[in-house]
Amino acid sequence: MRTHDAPHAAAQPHVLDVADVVAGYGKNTVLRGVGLTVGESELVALLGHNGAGKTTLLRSIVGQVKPTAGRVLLDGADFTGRPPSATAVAGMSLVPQGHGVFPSLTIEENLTLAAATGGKRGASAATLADSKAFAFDLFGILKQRPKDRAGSLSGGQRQMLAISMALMTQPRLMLLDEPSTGLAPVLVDEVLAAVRKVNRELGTSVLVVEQDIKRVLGVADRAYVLKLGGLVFTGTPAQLEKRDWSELF
Amino acid sequence: MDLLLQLAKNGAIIGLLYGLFAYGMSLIVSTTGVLHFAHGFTLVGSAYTFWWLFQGQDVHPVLAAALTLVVAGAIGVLIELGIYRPLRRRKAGEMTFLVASLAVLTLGQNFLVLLFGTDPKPTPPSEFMSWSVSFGPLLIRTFDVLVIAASLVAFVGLYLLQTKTAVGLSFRAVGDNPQRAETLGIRLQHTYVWVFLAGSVVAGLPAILLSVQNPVTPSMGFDLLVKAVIALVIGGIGSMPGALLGGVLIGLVESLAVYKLPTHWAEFTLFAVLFLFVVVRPNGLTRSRLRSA
Ligand SMILES: Nc1ncnc2c1ncn2[C@@H]1O[C@H](COP(=O)(O)OP(=O)(O)OP(=O)(O)O)[C@@H](O)[C@H]1O
Ligand SMILES: [Mg+2]
Repeated sequence: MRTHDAPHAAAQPHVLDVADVVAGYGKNTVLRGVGLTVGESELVALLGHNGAGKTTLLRSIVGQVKPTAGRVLLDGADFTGRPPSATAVAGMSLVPQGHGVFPSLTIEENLTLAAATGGKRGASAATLADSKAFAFDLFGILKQRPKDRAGSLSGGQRQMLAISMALMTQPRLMLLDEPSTGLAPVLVDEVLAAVRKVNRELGTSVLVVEQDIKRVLGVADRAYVLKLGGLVFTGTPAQLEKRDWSELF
Repeated sequence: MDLLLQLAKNGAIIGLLYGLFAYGMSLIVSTTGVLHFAHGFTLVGSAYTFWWLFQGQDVHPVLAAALTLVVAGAIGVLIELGIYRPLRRRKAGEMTFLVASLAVLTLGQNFLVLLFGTDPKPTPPSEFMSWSVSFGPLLIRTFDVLVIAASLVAFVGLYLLQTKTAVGLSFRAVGDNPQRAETLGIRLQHTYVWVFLAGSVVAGLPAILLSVQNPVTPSMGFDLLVKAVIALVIGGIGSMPGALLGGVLIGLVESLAVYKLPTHWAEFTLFAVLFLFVVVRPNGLTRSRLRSA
């Protein structure tokens, strides 16, 4: 997968390495030099107030927004400004907020389509079957009605399907934008627990944006807080608990 | 009564061709979001290709038909690559696409007039095409059998393509949400080329079959386009049964109108039915899948 050799062959590059990214929409600069890393099998939370630029950062990482400055590296290889179709095949899997599934496709078809990406990444049919079994194990509800259109599913079920689709792509890095939006508290726990399980059992690195700070800190290894397009906190959940939240959010 | 039955059968058969043409267009529209009126040129260009090969160059009709399908696909792909892709790159608005598409249809049609003149081009009657068999009051001709076979192959083929293959699933996915499709590694430009290829090759079938049934004229692309638009208003964009139903309904109305009314009333009746539909079922028979911006 690597197109450039890492500068220090001995040092293991981070799975995701974002450095000094500046990005926005037209003249409106949203991110003013943001850097973060996600390590091997790490689950990192990205927090911040509404409009802080969290979604813009995820979109800059996968290439939906082109950074005007800075670097985005996946496993040490430069993907800055590459199109989302390329970063997806390279192993980044974004689960966008609210629109993660194709409503007119059935559950089965959504998964098949995502599996094609896994296939492009070199996964064998057996691996893809394993991933599907893993997803069905996480979210039993999806297994019951494979022929149902995704458009007919509830918000929680759609989110589960969207995460399963991300799984089928065999990602190196999963990027989730507010997976708990609009879900009942019990479902939030279920979804976050599933993300944690993917991270622990498959070793997939995860960067998750969440509004439900308390809940996501329960599963995250590390957290960043973004405010007005700049980072104002980096550290462990325990360190974040001790901070004065009124100045961060 | 027998005449009515015969008219109904003829109408339904022609309607299948309208449905095929409409569905190819519908596939392109629902996937790309472009109102592809130039699909009419794909049809008329292919019809002239078939006529020119078969009648002008004495190519065996089966070979001529095969080559026509290739040309049909090529016309669609070239319109995508030469017209729509540059417009998309420049972030042109919906109206610009529409105007460009109409321009391709009009210019293309005039180009055919320059090449071949305005006089209708018949294909010669053949023994093969004049075969028929009676089922009670119904007379089934070679043409009917060919249309049914072609429609069956095309509709089943397109159904399997869109439910069983990654490329076909990507048509529907891109139609639903192109940004999300990209984050799954789908390259929109590739998907667009494939959908233009599929939808345009399918337009080759009505082009060939209409050419053997009626003389080819420069305006047949526009005529079919109008019928396709009506069929899609009735049946809903993106829906296969919708396009089929819409097409057959138009064929029936056209054909049955002739039973009681003078022939030039066929078009009036068609638009009367369309008007009724727009008033009674503004969303068509089936749910439309056209992307709402
Ligand atoms: N497509 C867009 N075009 C122009 N401006 C945008 C666009 N998307 C977002 N913005 C602006 O960029 C800023 C950051 O938005 P962003 O969606 O990245 O924030 P966020 O942290 O994800 O917020 P939220 O918690 O509400 O999802 C906001 O001021 C927003 O208005
Ligand atoms: Mg957001």
